[in-house]
Amino acid sequence: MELLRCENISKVYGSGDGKTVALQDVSFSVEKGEFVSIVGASGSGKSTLLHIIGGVDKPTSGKVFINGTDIHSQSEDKLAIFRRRHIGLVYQFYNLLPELNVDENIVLPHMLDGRKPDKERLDQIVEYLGLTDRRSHLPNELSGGQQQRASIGRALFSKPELLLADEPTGNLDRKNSAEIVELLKESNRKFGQTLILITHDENIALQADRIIYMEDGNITKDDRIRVTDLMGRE
Amino acid sequence: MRNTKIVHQVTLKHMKMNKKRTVLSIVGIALMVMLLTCVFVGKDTAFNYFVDIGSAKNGSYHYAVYDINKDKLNMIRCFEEVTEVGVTEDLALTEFDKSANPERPFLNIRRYSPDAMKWMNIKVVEGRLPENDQEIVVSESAIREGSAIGIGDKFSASTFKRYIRNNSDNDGYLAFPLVQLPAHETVELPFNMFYIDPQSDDGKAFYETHEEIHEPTGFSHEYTVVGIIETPVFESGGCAWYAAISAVDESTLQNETFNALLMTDTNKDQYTFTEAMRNLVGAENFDSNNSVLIFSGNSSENALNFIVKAMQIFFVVLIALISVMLIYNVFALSFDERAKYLGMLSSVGATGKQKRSSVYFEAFALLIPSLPIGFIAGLGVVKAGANWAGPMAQKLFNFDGSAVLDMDPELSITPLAVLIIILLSAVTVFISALIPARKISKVGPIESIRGTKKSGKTRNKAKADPDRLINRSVTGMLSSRFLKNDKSKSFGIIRAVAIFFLVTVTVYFGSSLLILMVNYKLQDNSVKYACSKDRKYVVSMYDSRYEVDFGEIADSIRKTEGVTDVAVCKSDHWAVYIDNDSLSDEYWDAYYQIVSMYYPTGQYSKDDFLKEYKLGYDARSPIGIIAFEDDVFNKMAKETNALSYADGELPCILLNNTSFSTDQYGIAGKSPRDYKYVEVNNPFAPEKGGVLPVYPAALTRDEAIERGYNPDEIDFPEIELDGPADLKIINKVQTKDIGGYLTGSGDMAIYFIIPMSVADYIDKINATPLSTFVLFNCDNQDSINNLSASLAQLEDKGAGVHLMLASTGGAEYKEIIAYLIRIILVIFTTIASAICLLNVYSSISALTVARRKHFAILKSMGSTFKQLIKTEFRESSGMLIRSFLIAAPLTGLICWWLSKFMISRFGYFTVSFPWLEAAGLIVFISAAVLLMTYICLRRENKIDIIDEIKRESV
Repeated sequence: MELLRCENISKVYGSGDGKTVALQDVSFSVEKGEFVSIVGASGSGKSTLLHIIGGVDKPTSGKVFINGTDIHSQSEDKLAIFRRRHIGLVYQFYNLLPELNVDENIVLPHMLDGRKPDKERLDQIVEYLGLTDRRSHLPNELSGGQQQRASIGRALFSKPELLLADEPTGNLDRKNSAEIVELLKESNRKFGQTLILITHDENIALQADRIIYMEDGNITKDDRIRVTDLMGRE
Repeated sequence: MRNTKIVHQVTLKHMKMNKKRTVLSIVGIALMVMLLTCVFVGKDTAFNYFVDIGSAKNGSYHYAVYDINKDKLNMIRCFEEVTEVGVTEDLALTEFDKSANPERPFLNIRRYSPDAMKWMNIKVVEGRLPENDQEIVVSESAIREGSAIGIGDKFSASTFKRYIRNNSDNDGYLAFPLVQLPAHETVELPFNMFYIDPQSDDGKAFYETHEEIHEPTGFSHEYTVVGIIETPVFESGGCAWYAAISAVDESTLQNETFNALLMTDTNKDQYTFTEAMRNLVGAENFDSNNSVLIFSGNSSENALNFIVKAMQIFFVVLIALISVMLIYNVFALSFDERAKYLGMLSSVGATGKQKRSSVYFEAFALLIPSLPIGFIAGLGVVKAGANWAGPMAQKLFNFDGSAVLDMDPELSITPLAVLIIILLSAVTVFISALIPARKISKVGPIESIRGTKKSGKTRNKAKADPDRLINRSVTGMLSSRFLKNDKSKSFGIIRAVAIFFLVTVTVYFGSSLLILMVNYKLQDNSVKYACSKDRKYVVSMYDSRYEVDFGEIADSIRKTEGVTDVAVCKSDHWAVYIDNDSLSDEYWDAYYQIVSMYYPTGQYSKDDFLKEYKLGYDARSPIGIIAFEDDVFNKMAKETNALSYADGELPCILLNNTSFSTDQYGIAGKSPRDYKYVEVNNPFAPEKGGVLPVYPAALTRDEAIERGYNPDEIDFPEIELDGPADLKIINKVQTKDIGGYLTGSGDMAIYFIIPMSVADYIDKINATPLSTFVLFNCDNQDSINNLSASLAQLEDKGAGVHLMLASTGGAEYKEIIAYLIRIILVIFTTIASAICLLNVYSSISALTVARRKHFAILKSMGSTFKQLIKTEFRESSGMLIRSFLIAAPLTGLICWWLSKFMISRFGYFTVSFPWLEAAGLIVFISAAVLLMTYICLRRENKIDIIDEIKRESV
């Protein structure tokens, strides 16, 4: 069942001589529960694509459908509400609010939706992320790995259908990177969440169901064979 | 040196990159420079302008001394305060047969020494000034009115004094200036007395019973006209002569006694000098040219001198304070940003000293463009203000219409003022940069770059409490966390709001105190006509030898066409007497405070005072009466919750406030060094419901005989009482409680209010009736003219009736000062508030800019704009509460100190804290902060969140 569909997404920065094409007619779709890696060199447009899918950036042209909803046709506030209900975002630089402790950062999107956080779920997530003894800490009192775990916790707490991770391990060492990817994979498996992950790391990319290769704003390769292989193996 | 240079280069680059903050800082400093320019250049410009106007009007001399001889002049020269002396001589009047105006047939010949000529602003229109006592200049008014005189003409002068002899059997008088003309007596006329043309109808009638006599002074002289001068200020249009001025020096003085004009060193104590001069020549022969002296803070009015000087200090301190706060805030708010680039410099080897020098360099780099911008802007403001206020000031100075001044104010820029502005600006900027520079130099490179070290504020660990979290709203959680964990930013706003409140309330309160003091000092010392508030005209009727029926006149006024809103009241300042025991201890304390000012400390004890003042003089004090028509009195009684009274009782309402001041009191013509004002809020001893015994002012027949008067020469009252009349005190009210009925509270004046029916009774127990006032409005000018004419006829017959505007009294220099003080204080309160508001705005703006990434994260997490607004509003509310909690006690403390200081300096008067205004300000500030938050947030909301999301860290 299709969860995400991108139709002819283009993104152009600037104009005239300074014009930069970040994305050029990008189209693809993602099934529910899929784990997709997007790989490519710096400046290939993968982060731009992820931000457009996440609704934090707008395409110059083209449409993004999530569950059949054209997300960019909505007003800013409606899009914000859509985002907090359906999308979980994990950034390379964590983007935690420095004034909130771990617990508060995790429940933030849930609370923004006007819902009371479920204490049991919070305990469960914190434990799952291995942050039980760091709950009252502020982000600047955490290591990079811990901050990224908190960031993943924030993305997972509301059980969004789509999890978008923009180089979540780009700032971490190998051990932490492995743990973070494992967490994301597990949430993909355990909660059936669709995961789109951007990475430079071939090893991480290879753990996905599908790899999309990007270059100069275009999808140069959409490797679904591996998905079939995996299905075959199962 | 090179190391410092590279740091400075980086700093300059950083400033260029952060254009918005740099511009804001320049604007803040330029505003400060502008205000300092307004204070120093504005003060010099205004005061020089007023001195010019005052000089043009009254001359530029400092003091005038009259009727002195050469010995005294030599003694005056010995005063170290006296720097220059000029002499003048009034030679009286001479016939001027070349006059074309029959009502101005004389020349008034005066002689001035060259200095005096200069100081009296004698300005030549044609020809030149006289150089010896053979030469003379004549006022251009003579030429203008057709006199056949010109340069080169010669004439002989024989001076004389003017007298009027009243040959009739009736007493008479001449008005403006008032001269009483008793029957069959000869009276000398004042120098500015008008002349009645014998050929005119009025003249023919007047000279039938009167005769003008000219008594020669014995001075004769030949003069050659060498110039025509601008009409000097002492020549008014209505006088009988034209001014003519000749030259004199001390060797050619005609009379034994003459006048002298003095210039003094105003840096020396003027009070000691004026007291010594009064002792030397007599108080009546010594005058201060206050219209000039007042603006250098050296007038004979010590209280006003103090106010002028206090205001200068007040403004400079205030401007410096708010400027420091504004600039400091700008520096403090950009702390993180600055710390980051300085941290980078530090990581490549910049020392603490270099980092400090970077902040100072930035501060002075900001000062350099700000100085000329602020200075020029300040000059513009001063010029615009001067052009706006100049004509007003001229109008105020022209209050008596004696001279029409047309002078444009000119900017007065002294090198000293420029130096002070530059120095004060530099010091202010240095102080503003001092603390941020010290803080920044202590921040290490890693802390700076990572942003883990904030500007001296440690972060609170946010305790994890899932239970509490569940019950919180997201906006509540975010706002409280922002408030607690981002103290450096929120404290900037808290500080700015607290300063706004503190400065505005303090300036307002301080200004109110000064204005209050000026008003007390300059108040009209009489209780205004009752009911005059909304009425334009008043006919005053007082007892005179020519009796008229006041009631009849009041009725005729009522019937006059166009007359409306007629109100009748009676009033007299010293109408009856009361026992001194009826006056409260507060009254006697206040009285003693003022009297004791005239004696060296400890020389006049309270007991001695009470013995003399309370127990002496029959142990009674005079008291004033105000009587309203019965229905008006009863309405007032009802409105003030007075007690009821029965028929036959004599009700009265005590006006329960008065005051004493050194202005209204004098012992042996002296005045104390310092002004003191003491307010009395309960001068009467008896309470509401009690009895006030009043004694008629008139003597009874027995008392007159007992005191050795001839009973036939005395008017006795219709009812002669054996004892006092007992009035029932149905209420005690403050003037402000009955502001709709009367205004004003005279120094030393005590009054009670009675209905007209009781006033009729008082008239019967007194020999002379209370003065009656008929107040009214009238929109028919013909009716007013007719009424004026018919009353003038009665007045001419000797009746004490007079029509005038209900609001009377002309302005004088003190009122000009009061007016200017009010304007300046209002302007400065407004500007101070505006700067503080700018400070608040820059703090809020800096906070929202610093939160840009926070907002981006929140938005990417799904926050709506409404939620962001709500969060920031909640945070702002928290900051506002903290601000007011900090500012309120501080403001209270400063205001308390200010009021104590003013009371200790000037005396006791009721000072009320402006609660309502403070509450209004809280509402205004709160609304402004929320509005600014909204505006800044809207601005931030337009910025693409993706750009912020991509930034490395918050």
